[in-house]
Amino acid sequence: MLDTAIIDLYFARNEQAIAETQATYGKYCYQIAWNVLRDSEDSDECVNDTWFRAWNSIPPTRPARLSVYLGTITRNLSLDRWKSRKAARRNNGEIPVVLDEIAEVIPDKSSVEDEVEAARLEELINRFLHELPEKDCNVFLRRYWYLEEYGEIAKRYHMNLNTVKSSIHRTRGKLREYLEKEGVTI
Amino acid sequence: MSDKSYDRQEESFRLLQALSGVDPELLQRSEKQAPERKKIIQFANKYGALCAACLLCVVLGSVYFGVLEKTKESGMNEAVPFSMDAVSGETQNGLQEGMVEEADEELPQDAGAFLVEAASAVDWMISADATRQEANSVDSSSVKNKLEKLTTQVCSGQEETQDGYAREFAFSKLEGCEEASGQDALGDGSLVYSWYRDGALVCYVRVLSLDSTSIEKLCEIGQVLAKDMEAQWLSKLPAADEAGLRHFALSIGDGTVAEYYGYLSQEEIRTLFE
Repeated sequence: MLDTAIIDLYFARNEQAIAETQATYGKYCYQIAWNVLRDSEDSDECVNDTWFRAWNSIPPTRPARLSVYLGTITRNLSLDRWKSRKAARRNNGEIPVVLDEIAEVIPDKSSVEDEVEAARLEELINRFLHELPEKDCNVFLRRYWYLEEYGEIAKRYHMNLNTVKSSIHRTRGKLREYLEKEGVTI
Repeated sequence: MSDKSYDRQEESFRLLQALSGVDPELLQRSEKQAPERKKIIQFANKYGALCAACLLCVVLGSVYFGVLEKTKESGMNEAVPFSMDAVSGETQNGLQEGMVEEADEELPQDAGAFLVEAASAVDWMISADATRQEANSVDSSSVKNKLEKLTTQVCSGQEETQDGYAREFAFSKLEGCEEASGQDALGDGSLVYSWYRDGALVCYVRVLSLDSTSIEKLCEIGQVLAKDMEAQWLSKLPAADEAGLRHFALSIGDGTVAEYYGYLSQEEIRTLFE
């Protein structure tokens, strides 16, 4: 079913909307949750919570891209769940690895919370990503938005694994430079 | 986990959360799968280096063997300037030894003329006995080329000269062979004799006249064998090739040279020129 039709069901408060959403985007959202949590039960719960959030937010919201809208909800829920679990151990999902990697971007003696508001950071990151070459941007988002493994990214874009790794490494460096240049010392 | 490490993870986590606000357009774009590369490109990526290496080996090999072949060929041209060696494929009794060096020596003009004629004689015989020629492996055209090359060297651009008409020569009768009398088949004053056995051509002898100085010089450099009473020239005959073909020139006296080209045995040759 087309996004517009599904959204119309939401607006009509038709519960079929959730079934259609599940059929169309269930796998997609589950994959996002799984990448964060690496736990099928938690992932399922996150996906179900996503449908619940969507049911509550549409209307009034009319998402331009339903997939991204739902994916963002799933991602945020998954991150929150991961954080709330406070059981982040090594080898428990990609989160610890990703956090280690992204920590390179953060200079010492600073704090995100102290230096910049989240909205400002979002804006800068968006601008930065728009300036990136499409391929680098895609690879970066697959890694840090979808939290996909390097191998998956390489397979998706038919790239060499090392190429993916070096691309991500370069982009992290660029992001750090960019944020510092913008006066953001996270 | 240390406090510092924990803080950095917290900050990283915030950054990760900040990424949630990424432009949906960018996310949508990243959803697209890259088109699968053509199989040929995949193959080239996987085995390209190997293929290139193989190709390089083949090219280098071709070049190497090409050069080797060329070198061999040119080496043979230089080492075997006259037909006898080329026909027999062997160097016997020192007949051809030192030919290259000696051939470069200044020869009388008549010698050049002889060689020109010899080349044309071979040419004529080749065309006349095409059937037999197919049966053996002699590269007659290369023989001719070598003769012409040497002739060019010797004549040094001089016009071909003829040395008058050859005298009739009485060959001994060969048993079981029928002799066709000498004819000026080449139109150059030389006489060509031929022998047949059971209707098949077994040899030609071309008789031509040269001045004695030229003959001496040619004998000295081993291009022409000198007939002697003790029949020592027989021991200097070039060996026949696999097909039994033999070619040589023999000075038979009185300024006459007989150029032999045929399949007779050494004994028959001796009888023929007795």
